[in-house]
Amino acid sequence: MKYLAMVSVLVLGLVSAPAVADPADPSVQRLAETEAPVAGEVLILYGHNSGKGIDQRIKHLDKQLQQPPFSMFDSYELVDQSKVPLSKGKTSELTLPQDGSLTLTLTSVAGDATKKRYELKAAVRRGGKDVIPMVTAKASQGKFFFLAGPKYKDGVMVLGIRVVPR
Amino acid sequence: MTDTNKTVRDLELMRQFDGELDDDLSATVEDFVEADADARDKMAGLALVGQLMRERADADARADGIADRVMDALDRDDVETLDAEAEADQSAPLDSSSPASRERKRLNPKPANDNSGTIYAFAAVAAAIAAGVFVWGKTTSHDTIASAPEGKTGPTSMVASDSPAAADMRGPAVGADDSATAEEDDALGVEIAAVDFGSHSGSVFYVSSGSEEVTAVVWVTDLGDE
Repeated sequence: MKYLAMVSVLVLGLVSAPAVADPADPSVQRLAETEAPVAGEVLILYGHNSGKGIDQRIKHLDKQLQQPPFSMFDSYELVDQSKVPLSKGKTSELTLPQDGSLTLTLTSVAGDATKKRYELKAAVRRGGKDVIPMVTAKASQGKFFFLAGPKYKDGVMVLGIRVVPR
Repeated sequence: MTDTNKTVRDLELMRQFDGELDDDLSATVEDFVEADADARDKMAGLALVGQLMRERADADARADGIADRVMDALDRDDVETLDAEAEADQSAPLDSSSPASRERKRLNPKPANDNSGTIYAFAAVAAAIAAGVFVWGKTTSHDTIASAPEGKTGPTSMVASDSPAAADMRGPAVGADDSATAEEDDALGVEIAAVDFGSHSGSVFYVSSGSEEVTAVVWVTDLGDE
């Protein structure tokens, strides 16, 4: 029985060793601050039901905007398009219509040089109140994610956000 | 003077059979049994049961010849013979009831309260559990900490059922253990790791944008009258 216990502990130690060495895993390696600077591109869209269809300037989002949940509105209009610089650990703020604001924070960059994954924290406020208190998203460069739902005119505001080279 | 007309209960018959009644009552029951055929039958039945029990006990005693054999060996102080028998039994499964086994135990005594085996077993199990918890903590701590909402205690959840339309809900649940591989992340394109809707309700959607690319949509239900 003594030998069984010793062998059990030894085997478990060997099994757990790779997990302890996790920080050395390249998949979670944090890139240095000297990496190429990036920015957050933000599209401010106005979704409504006016029958106008999708704005020509955002035709590249046509496929997404015709699917649920976007398809609850038949028209999308580009209100504004902006870029905010992103630096790791620093929060950037973008002013939105109707006394609103969007804050973006680049929290980490993972992956190797060819496949970077950016982790962003985003929050939307309006009139000093939280509308979307916090979203943590992980995205590859150039891939959009959307924050939607804040009321805007007769419809909703949709924010398309992606990481792009600065 | 005994009253033979008095009805005697079964309990009293059994006590009479066992010799537990006092003299007066015993005489009364005895008179009753002589006068009552049913009572005689019951007494005969008790006698039969008693006889069978004694025969069974005798048979068990006869089967216990092993103990006598061991005791005889001890009387002869023939330990060497027993050791030889024990060695012969080494290759066979140990029968704890065999004389050799019992004698081996006698010659290599352990304390009666020797629980070391159990203690080692429990220690091994505890170590295994501790190691498992440690490994689990190591492998999940990054994502748990990274996905924790900051500064808000409101619910962080993905509400799929109240979505405004039936959406493609592919992709991981919000706040779930991030066990997706890097390849899966690439296929997903975008992943919502955590959402804090605060006092609002909302949903997270994963929308296909053609081919295998998927984008994520966080849709909050904004009543606009707050």
